[in-house]
Amino acid sequence: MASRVVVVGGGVIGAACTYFLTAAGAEVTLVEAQVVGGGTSSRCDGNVLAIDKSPGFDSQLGLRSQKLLAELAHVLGDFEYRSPGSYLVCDNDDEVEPAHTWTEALRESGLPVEFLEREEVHRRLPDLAADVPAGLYCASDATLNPLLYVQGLVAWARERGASVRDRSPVAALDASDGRVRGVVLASGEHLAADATVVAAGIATPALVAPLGIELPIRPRKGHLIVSARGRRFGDAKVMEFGYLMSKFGLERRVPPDVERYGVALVYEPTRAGNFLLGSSREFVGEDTESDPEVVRTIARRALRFYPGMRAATVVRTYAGLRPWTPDHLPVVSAAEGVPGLFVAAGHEGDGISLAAVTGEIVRDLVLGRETALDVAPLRLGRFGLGAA
Amino acid sequence: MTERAPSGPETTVVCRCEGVTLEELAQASSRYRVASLRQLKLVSRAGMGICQARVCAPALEALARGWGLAAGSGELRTRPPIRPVDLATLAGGEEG
Ligand SMILES: Cc1cc2nc3c(=O)[nH]c(=O)nc-3n(C[C@H](O)[C@H](O)[C@H](O)COP(=O)(O)OP(=O)(O)OC[C@H]3O[C@@H](n4cnc5c(N)ncnc54)[C@H](O)[C@@H]3O)c2cc1C
Repeated sequence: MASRVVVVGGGVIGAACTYFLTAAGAEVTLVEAQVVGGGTSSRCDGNVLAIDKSPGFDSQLGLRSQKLLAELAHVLGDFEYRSPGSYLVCDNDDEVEPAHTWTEALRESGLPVEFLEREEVHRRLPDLAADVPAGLYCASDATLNPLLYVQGLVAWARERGASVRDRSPVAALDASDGRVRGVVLASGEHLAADATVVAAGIATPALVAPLGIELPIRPRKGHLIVSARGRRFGDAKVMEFGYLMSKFGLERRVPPDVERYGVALVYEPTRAGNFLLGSSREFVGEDTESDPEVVRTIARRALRFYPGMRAATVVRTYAGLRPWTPDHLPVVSAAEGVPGLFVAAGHEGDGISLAAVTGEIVRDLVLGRETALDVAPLRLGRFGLGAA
Repeated sequence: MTERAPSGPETTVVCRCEGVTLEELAQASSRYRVASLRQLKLVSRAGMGICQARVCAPALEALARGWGLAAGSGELRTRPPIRPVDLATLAGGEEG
């Protein structure tokens, strides 16, 4: 049984792995290149959603994570966790039928989802543009402050003996005789471990490549607009149904710039009294500068659904890089054929939502326990590439 | 953590936009074992309000130095838009 574990990457995924492993009695060292929580996990929303997961395995993962998170909310300090549910709203009549079908499929998967006819959606969301034809609501969806969540997980583990090395980039995995025995830091220092968990987000492929593992994770850029405190437009988060179509690469009837930048409305009110607006999805390398054209498209999209937002004050915009995989599922897996190595990365737009269930699975894989879910769909080897 | 104890009166407001006090900064700093100015900002919201740290940056940087935190010059970097604007302006006038 592995007891000394090195976790590479202090984003929400590495933080959750550190938490669950420490809670199970492992001796964990979390190694972070810069500051804990400073990567994609600080350039995102805090949505914890099941409504946007494909019915079946994907939504089961989401639900399991929501359940674990509700427990974590009692264990960790306050991380602004609350569970107001979430809405998906349709842009035009073409989306109503798919939204209906989606509702039914999610209900069959056991999610508390209801379809909202025109009148009902406007009764519940009075600020919405009058021509929105329908929507749906998922009661189990939650929200949190990702910065505090990451810090809370790590602080809890630290108080119980985990050690945290920040500003310590890992230069390479320490591999000999086909086995990973820890990591080598850029400083030259070796950290020995029985198990090494690579949770380095978009940097994960580069870390495992020297072992012949080809991991198809790519950075998918997303922008956010942040408002000042002021008037809000409802307490629950609202997304457009087209977000799902955009996420899964389906065709939508929308303006060309909306299509080009993969823009879909995401409205997220925060407990601090302001709100965030998203979203966009693009493959444009590793640049995290805000692109004014994309921001403009997101702003227009928000006004299409919330005409009353015209006067809302914007204080900043920023962008983050989602770790995308070809099948929209993360890799949470032992590296088949490379003892001592585990990978937890590729959560695209769901890392905050799925961190808890990911940490739980990693704990069970590393400690040789049975996992709560069948994790075959998350295997590294599923892409059929490289050594795995 | 004693070395993080604030020296001024504990109700001093450091970041007015977000209403963050010196006491709250000190608490957040020790609770999360904050190691850098950027992390202090992330856990406290100080410097994240409407003025985007244009007012409180010198105070935050001084505190960070006093508490021995890593404080590179870019840590309170203002992100675009440089000045607050309304959403309609950001959308470029006509709506798409
Ligand atoms: C605009 C936007 C909105 C989003 N909204 C949501 C949302 O509402 N809900 C949701 O669930 N998800 C959301 N996401 C997705 C979520 O942010 C990501 O899935 C998640 O943050 C990924 O976490 P991570 O830990 O894998 O990566 P990261 O947070 O990037 O962490 C990886 C860490 O590894 C470190 N690292 C890299 N290389 C090395 C090395 N060699 N040595 C040591 N450390 C290293 C990095 O410095 C970094 O800190 C959003 C993303 C974006 C961009």
